[in-house]
Amino acid sequence: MKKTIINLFLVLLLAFGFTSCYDEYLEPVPETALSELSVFDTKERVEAQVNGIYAAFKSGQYLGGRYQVYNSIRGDHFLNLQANGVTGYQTWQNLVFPTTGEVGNLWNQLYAAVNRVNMFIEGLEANEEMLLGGDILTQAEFDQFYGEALALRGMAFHHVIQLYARPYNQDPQDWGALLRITAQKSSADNDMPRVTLEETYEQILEDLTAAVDLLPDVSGGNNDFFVTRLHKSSVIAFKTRVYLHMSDYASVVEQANNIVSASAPFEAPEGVAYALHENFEEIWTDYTTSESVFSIPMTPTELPGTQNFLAHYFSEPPIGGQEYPINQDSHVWSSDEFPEDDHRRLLVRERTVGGVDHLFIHKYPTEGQQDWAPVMRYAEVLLNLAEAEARHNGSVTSRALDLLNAVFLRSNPGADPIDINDVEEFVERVWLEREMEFLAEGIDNMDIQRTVREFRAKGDVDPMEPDRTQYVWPIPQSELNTNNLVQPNH
Amino acid sequence: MKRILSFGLFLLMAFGTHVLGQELTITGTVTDASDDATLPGVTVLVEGTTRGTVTDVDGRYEIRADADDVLVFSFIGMTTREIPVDGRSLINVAMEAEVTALGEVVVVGYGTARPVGTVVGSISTVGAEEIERRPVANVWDAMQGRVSGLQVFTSSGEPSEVSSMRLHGVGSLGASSTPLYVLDGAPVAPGNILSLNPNDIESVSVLKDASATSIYGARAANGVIYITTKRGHRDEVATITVNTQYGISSLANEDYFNRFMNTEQLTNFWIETGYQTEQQVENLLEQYPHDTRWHRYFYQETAPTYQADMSIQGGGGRTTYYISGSYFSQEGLATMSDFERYSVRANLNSHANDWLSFGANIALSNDYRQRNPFASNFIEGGLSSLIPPFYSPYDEDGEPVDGLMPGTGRYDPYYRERMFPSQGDNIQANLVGFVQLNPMEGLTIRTQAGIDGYDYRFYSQRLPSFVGNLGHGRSREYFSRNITRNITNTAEYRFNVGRRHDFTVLAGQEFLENDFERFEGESSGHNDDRLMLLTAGPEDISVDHARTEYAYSSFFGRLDYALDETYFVDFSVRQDESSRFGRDNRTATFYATGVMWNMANADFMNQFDWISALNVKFSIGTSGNSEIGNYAHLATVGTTQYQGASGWLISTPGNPRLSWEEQTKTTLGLYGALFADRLSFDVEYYIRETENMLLSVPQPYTSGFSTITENVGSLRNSGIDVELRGDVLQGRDYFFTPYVNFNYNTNEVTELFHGRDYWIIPNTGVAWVVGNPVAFYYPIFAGIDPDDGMPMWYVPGEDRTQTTKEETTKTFNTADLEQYTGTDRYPPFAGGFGFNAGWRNFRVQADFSVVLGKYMINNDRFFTENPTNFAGWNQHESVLDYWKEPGDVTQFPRNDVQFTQFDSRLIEDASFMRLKNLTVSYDLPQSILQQTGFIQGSRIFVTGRNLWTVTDYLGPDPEVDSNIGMGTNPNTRQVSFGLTLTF
Repeated sequence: MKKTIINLFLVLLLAFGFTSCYDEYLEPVPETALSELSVFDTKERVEAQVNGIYAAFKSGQYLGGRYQVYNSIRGDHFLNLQANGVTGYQTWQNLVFPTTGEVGNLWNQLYAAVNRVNMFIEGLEANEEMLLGGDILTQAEFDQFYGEALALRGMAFHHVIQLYARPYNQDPQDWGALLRITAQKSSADNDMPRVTLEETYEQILEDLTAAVDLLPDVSGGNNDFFVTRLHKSSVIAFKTRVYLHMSDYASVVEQANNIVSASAPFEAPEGVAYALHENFEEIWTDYTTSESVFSIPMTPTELPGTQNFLAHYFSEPPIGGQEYPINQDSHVWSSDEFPEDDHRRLLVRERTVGGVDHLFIHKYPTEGQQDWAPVMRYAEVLLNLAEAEARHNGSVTSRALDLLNAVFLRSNPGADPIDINDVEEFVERVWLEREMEFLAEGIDNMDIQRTVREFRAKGDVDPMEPDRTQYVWPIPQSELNTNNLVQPNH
Repeated sequence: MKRILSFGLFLLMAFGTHVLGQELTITGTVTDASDDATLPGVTVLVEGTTRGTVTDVDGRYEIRADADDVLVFSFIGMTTREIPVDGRSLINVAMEAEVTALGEVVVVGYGTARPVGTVVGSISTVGAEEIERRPVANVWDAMQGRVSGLQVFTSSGEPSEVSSMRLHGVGSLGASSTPLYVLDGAPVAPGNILSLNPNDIESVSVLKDASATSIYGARAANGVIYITTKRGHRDEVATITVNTQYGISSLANEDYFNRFMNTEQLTNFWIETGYQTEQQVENLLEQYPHDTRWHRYFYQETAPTYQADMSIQGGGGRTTYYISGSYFSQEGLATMSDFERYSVRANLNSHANDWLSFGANIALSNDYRQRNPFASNFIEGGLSSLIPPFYSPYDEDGEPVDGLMPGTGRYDPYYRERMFPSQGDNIQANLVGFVQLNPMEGLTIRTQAGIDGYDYRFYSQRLPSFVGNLGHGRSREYFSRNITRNITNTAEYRFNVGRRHDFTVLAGQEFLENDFERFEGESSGHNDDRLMLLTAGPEDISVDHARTEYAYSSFFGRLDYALDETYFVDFSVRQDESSRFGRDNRTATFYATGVMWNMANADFMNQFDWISALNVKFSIGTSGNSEIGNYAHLATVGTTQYQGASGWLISTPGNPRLSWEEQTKTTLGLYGALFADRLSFDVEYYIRETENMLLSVPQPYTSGFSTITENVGSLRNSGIDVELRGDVLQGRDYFFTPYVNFNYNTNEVTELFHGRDYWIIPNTGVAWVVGNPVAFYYPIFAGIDPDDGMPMWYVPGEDRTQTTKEETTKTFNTADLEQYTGTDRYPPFAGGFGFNAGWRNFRVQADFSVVLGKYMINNDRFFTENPTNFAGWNQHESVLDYWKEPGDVTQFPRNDVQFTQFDSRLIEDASFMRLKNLTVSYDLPQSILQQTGFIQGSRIFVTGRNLWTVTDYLGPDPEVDSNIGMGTNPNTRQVSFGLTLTF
């Protein structure tokens, strides 16, 4: 009996012994993912989050490739060879629905990026005292990270209305973006209406202006950091685009003057030393020339993904998937003003597909998805300014002409400079120059929308007037299903 | 090789030792107690020896035994009798019919086994006889149609398929509906069944109601499947059983494949529709003049299944043992589809003294599994019959080709199998050990620890000699390890007060912890088939590494009380804590109570002498479901990269309030036996209410997340279980016991998230609608307009939850047209029927399973009846019925319009009836076996699986457990021959 009691005791001891060490098992710490509570502890962690925000913008569904693709293939610049619904065929046809894949995918990724900004800003504000008081960040670092986040958000809201809202210049009171500016962590704010385009632009400018104030001064030649992270100069450059889209020409000129010299040769008088790069072809293999304002970088371990990277769409095998060859009947390609030996016209590769000779643009020439994806180049700032100068002054100033010629003559050395005196004619010529310059860079759709022009016919696709529903993308079905207040496009 | 091995063991045993002793000769007659008729063929054994005889035609026997031996008399369908010799030389025996053939004891959660009829909980038990010796690796397949309320589906013919199970409907819309599996007292993962030798199973018990399951707490909401493996008994003679069996598989149903057009039909269709000119077809047929039925090439006509196992079972005075080894191998009909398993098990128990016992169940298995990677929507797999029939897989010499099959642009599947080697290799260990103390009468203290773990590795390669990527191979290696550690401490005390009041009190504690880790590496650029290690590939090198864990800590208790063995009450409680939930919501408590009245003991029942047993039961209780991801409550930060620097991102939003999904189950049951136990019935009505459902609530994308897991919504299942079993015929040398069981279950969504009335899950065709069962919401097809040949669909009304068939449209858009189709997602009716019969030495067992009201989207028809979308591929003959001129009433539209859209036409009735099992066996007569001197029993059997299927479903297999059937590698029909010997 004594033995029995001892044994009984041993069993109970065993039982309680195990119980005491259970608690730690109930608080597991995932090793592949960290708890959100610890992410503001060190400067490295804060900076890692900034990188995480950029990585969200970099997604192949967004700025890593597809955003530029959709904005390039809606117009008449390209033909479609694959009829593949996964790679923008419906967008090319101007026949998209709320359930169309790209309509949901881009929206999803864009707003995921916005929410990442919002969560970061919320965390930064909540931890401000600890970060600054605990010498984790200097005030300058704090401001820089804050400014970058705001600039990215402003940029995203501008991006979203290019496809999902009707043109501002058609009616500023039409529906614009869904302005998510607080961190979403639960279903509480699921129902949210869109604001007007006017209100959207107010928010965009508020974000960008605040960012310019927060971001530290920069100077010196362009480099990896200046191209892949936002800073004072690049945000100002982006503001010229925003104001141009609003037809606020005075502000375009005002902003551009910060980063464009008064006369040729044009270069940035302060900040990063922007200037046109002499050799047009080199821009596409040397991603950090003086011309690159903001590009999405690629490295072998962080690729945009199959069917997302730009070369997949615009280049021929083995680099790409020969999806979209140049439409040689397009307005720009068949234009008399696009010289036969223009360097930009020569930047192509020939390839016969299905018995037909095609030309593929050669801006994305690198195998293995590794071409950087351009978001903005200095050439655009010059052309934004040229158009605004002429409109703002009501006459074609010599600076406006010089700006246009700077871009044109770079690719046509030895050609006669353009000389146009009529403002309307000049502006039309700038638009054409933009089509030649930014082929396959995602500018075309933006230009069509801001000028409320028709989409020209291509292949078997009919032209489309600005009053048509398909003129802009619809709000995705997933949003319509879950957000009871969102207004569909008309 | 394995067969030789088994035979070697057989021979070894043949020369085993014979035990001899001091003997006297005993004679006697064996009779049937019910009619005093003499019984021939009764086995008479001297206990503890292998010596035995059988009674002759007059029921007489003669045997030599020691004066203090015990004789064992056994006969199928009769209760075995053990009679001490006590020095007598004449022993006459009257044998009685066996009352309950199986389940004399039932398992109860964490407690010691109880006699049938004394447990309040609702538990159905399936015995070894009903599931063993089936030609399938996954024993759950044999459970189909055996237990009322338990739906079992085997979704494909892959040899490594694991059947899915659902008890009493789908219990949750977000978390899993899979029951908790418990093997010899320790929880195991559902997939483990593949590692288990079916012949090691003693019984499978299905714990259904709250009284039986609540003690399993947070994981019991979907019921508990309790598997008990075989063990030896004290003072049992060592019995060696050798079982070997060989079978072949073939397609269970070829109708789907036979609906494809032949060469003539297809080419005529092409000419008729203008897809090809007559000249083009002529040229084509000149080059490719064949008429191939492609499924006959992509699926082998027959594939072998082989299994062999051996077990030794027995026990001495203090120790009992059951030791087995088995081998199973099955080839699938498709290429790259195999399963091969080796397993060993040792169940050892020792009663060291009158207060201490201990034991261990040790099982280890190793299997090699391969699943056809080209299932579903691949031409190389599920859609192979789309290849036009005029092509042939063979070259001009009639030989298979090493590369592309002529003209098709597709690789020969057997070539592909060689060029893309891949295989999974699983090692599974399941160890359960216990120490049990009985310090005083009625008190049992037990500590049990278990480890359930597997180590699974998988490789897949593309050999450099593959002509599609010549000189550029690829290699992928995947390793994973999953370990569940579990310890349970219980104390149970049974006592009796005043001989009328029986009490059992149980208290216990359990802890469970799981670790999972995987590692994966990939590289490419291999240039030699012989050098396929990862290190030999210089390009695209990538690694992936992940690790997760979870834990549960629990306390539980139960009180059982019985008055006069007539009135029974039990009450159980369990408290669980789990790492899967937020810190503030980590603890949950579950309760259940049940009552039972054994009416047969009541005085007034004496007048109904035809009622031999009658029990009424009622139970109510709660349980939980926590089958969601391990870190769903945490807002986790993932890692990424930007410009070579590491980036962090909040990858899941987290929900600190996340908690259990709670279920309340109420069960009312009536069990009875009539006419001297000739007919027994078990009827139960249940209501199962799920609240605070774990749902991935869809979010607007603008929130930055597509879903957040929350506790929202509720669901209700209610239904009735019926089981009937009859000893219809019971004679001296024959018996016939038919059974039938079924369940009718209705489910109803009672609340959704955010106050919604309904939610159509995007891209599935399935909707959750408050007040209705989970149902199919799809555009409803309205026929072809005979005037212009355009397809039409009904325009939904304002309320999509009502079917509206008034207006039609010719523009197809899912989002605009989806509405209630009148068909429900989950089948309400499932059941089975069959019988066990015997005549002399013959036995027949037949089991049918039936599922009614099962609907499924036949996605295959989107491919096989859509010549507009899949021009150039073969199609079903049905497409010939298309619109040609005004006035035509046809199944399909004009040929310049898409023939098939994802609409109500594809929702098909996938109800089915299957002859799941038909086994005929013959036991060699004892008179022959006796001459061998050592063989005690010998059974020859033929067993068939899925021999007959009745269904209206037009796809390859109606049994798929999904909302969509597509490219299924269908279930097979199997016939297997075997031999079982016992020594």
